[in-house]
Amino acid sequence: MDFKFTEDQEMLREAFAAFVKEEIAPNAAKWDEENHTPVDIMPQLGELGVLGVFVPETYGGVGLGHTERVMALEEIARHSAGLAMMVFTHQLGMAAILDFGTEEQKMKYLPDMCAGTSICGLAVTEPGGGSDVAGQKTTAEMKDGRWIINGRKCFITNSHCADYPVLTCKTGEDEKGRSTFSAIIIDKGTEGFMPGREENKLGLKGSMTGELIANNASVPQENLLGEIGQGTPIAMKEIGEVGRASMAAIATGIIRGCLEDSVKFANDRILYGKPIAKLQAIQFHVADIRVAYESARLMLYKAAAVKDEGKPATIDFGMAKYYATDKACECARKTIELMGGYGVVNEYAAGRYMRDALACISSGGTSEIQKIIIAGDTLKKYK
Amino acid sequence: MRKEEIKTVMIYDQSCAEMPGEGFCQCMGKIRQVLQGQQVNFIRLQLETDNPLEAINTLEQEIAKAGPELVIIPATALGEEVAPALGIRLGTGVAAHCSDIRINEAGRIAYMVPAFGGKVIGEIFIPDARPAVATVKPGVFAFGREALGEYEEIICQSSAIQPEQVKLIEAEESPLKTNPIEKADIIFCGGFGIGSADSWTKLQRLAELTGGAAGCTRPVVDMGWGPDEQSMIGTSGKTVRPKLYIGFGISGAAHHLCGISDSGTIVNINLDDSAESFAASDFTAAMDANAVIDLLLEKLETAPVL
Amino acid sequence: MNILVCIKPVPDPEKYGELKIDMDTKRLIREGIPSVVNPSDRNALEEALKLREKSGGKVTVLSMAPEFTRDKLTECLAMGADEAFLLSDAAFGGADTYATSYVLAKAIERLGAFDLILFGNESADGATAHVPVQVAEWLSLPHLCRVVEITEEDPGFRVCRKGDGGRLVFAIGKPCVLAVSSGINKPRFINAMGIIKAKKKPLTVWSNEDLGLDMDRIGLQGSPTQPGELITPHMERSSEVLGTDPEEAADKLIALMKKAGGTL
Repeated sequence: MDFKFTEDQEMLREAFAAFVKEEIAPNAAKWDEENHTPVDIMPQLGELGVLGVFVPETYGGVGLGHTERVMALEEIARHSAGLAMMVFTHQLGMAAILDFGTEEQKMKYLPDMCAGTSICGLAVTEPGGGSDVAGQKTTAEMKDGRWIINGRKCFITNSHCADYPVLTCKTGEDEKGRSTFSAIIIDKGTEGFMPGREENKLGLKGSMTGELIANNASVPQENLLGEIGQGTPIAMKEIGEVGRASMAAIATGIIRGCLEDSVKFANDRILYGKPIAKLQAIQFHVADIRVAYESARLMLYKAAAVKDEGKPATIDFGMAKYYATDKACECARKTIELMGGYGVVNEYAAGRYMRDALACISSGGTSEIQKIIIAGDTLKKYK
Repeated sequence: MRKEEIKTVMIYDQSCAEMPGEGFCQCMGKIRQVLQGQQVNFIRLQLETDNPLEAINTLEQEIAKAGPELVIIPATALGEEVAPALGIRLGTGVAAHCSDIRINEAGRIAYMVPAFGGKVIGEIFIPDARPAVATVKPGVFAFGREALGEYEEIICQSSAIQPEQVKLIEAEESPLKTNPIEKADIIFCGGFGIGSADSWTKLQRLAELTGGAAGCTRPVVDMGWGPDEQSMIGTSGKTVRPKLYIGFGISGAAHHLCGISDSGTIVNINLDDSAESFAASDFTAAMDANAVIDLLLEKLETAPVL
Repeated sequence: MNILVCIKPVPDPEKYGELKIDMDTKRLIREGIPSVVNPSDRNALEEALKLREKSGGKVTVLSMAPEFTRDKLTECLAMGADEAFLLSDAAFGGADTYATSYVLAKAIERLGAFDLILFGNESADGATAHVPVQVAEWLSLPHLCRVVEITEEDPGFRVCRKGDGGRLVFAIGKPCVLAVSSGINKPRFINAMGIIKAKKKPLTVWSNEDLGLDMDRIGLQGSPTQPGELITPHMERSSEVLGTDPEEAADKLIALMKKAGGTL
């Protein structure tokens, strides 16, 4: 059991951190305030190797794994959880293409996506709900060798900036009359396909979230990802392993923000002639945030290691996601409390951490959903 | 080197032949102070050139002829390149950017040299090698013309023929500032916290209105907000000693604070009241520096006679 | 073009605020402060990589530093250098710029011919700006410091230097030594592909056994300057509060300006 990053991983982490420090950290507050999605930074993240870090070199990636992928997300989310959200959603769609796409599809889409010159996404959620996968109403019908797509997706990250979102659509019914779904890659420019409203979110600004509307959008047959009827397993696998991993990483990044900011504040803020770090009440907060950070990190990187071994990691990521997002809220609150009046002033990032942390809870399945999944596994495993 | 050993000091003067430059006066004043009561010959070696190689060759020859025990070179762009080259050619030690020259308890000459961005100052000794070479930033020693005593002059002509290996082909003079920061009584200094080129322009306007000068820290130069290195204050820039220094949005890195420590009154305005600049200030104001800049402009522009 | 870039690992300049002096030993306490590639050395490497992109050739990196900093050379390889050499020996320790430049120059002689040798203008820690010039002098090569622009122009380079009065343009022959200012470029970020490639690039460590230099020419013994005590400058002042709102602060500032003889 080795709890250290390898020398290469450490160098990679430093390289990501150096970029984040120079190009992301100084802008994060502004992106949040202006509700701006910095799409322009994607080619730079491509150049850096962040976007395709887990994609084999053949498809323009770096050929490393998910440990490195979540490491990059943690570094980005340390300063901009919103941007990390855009990056991971892009990777979520890429992972679907990598895992289920044909050789032609991989060669067609992945190199540009690794380079950040085209943006991907995965659109599953509908007005009826996200975790209720079977309740999706968007349909894709085969007509004259083309898919005709109709329906509306909502709460979709990268809704307005994705060039090639992957949509899950109902394409049939099984023998028991239940809907079956397929995943289809759709070109942003397709006639009858467009983004709808853009949400004004509580947090995770720096990523855009909104609707995708298909109204008789006609898509070539070869845009089908995987087999007909494989849509649900594709969505479940990628959301379960890439999506939740990413949310755990983002929340871990937020906790680190809380940790670093609260320590800085505690050391700098002088009350009664000495830094407030000398006060036990402050120390308790700092200790709690530290323990939360260390625990969230251990769970995150353990889950990523399981995934990189090629083993199923849904449960590990589910636990990491539930824990980290829950703790991120708690830590952001503790940071605000520790800062007193300054905690609610927007010159400090603590308020943004709080909003981002809260916004993390619902993405990739709420805490309750995670607990149901964890409980299901636990009841079996420890019988 | 012990102080009694010093018989001849050569000071390189980059200014014009007619009159000793300020740097020469400052250095001579300092050495006379350090070696008080001791008979020392001073040599003013004058050479005006933009080509470091020419200066190196000339100084090497003149030093060999005059045989000084100590050579002082201004730590200008040119001098910083001349001194280390002489170190190798003469096989001797060079103390860089002395902020002070002292005699320690044992009577040895210690060159005080800042390191780690001015965070620490280290003693440097040059025990055996001769001549000892030291560079001194202009403005570090506060002596004027009155500090001059007798000295000998070696006036060198810059050769019309450029050395073949390093040839100067173009010189672009930057316009001389009407009130350089080294001379100003009031300095308005902008740090990273001013945030924009616009604020830098406002500081220049404040300087105009008050007869002061605008200065800045390295980030302001690096961010491209307007000023060049001529306005930069600190160990890698200018040393200033105005009657009043007002810092706006300055974090207080050691290398900047070193350049202002001899100022009369130091005021710092910064939103972050934990800024290190505050500890080094006589007066502090924890508020938005730009708000104060705007108010000052408003007051001074609308009521020019106060 | 065959380019050599000399780099120095230094304690992270952003952490100099945390440096303390051990009052007993009068030494600097560096623990907990990570090493980084000296900032302007990264500009030198960037310039070398840009020149290589333009005219082809090879970029070699050289450093004299303790063995534990070898990952800083790996970083240079990850940034794009082709090969790296680390000169590491306890015998090199305690060297001033004179002895340091001697070791570097001897290693360069051994490495072979270069068209261009690049340095960062000064290190963040010592900041003497001596070593580039001194290496050049040992090698009898022409040199220029504070370089802000380099263009290859037959038979050598057209080099723009920041002088005391303004920009100066020089023609300098090949081979030569140039020390670049940090304003010359923006160093590229190290990317993931670079890190993977770096592992396959050669990184050679030479000790004094390899170089075979006289012990009295290197290290503390070969240094004409000797360090003494370290002191921390005292700059604390009274830090009185000037005012609590901008209005009050501005009025008091104007009063101070009048007192300082401002032409108000």
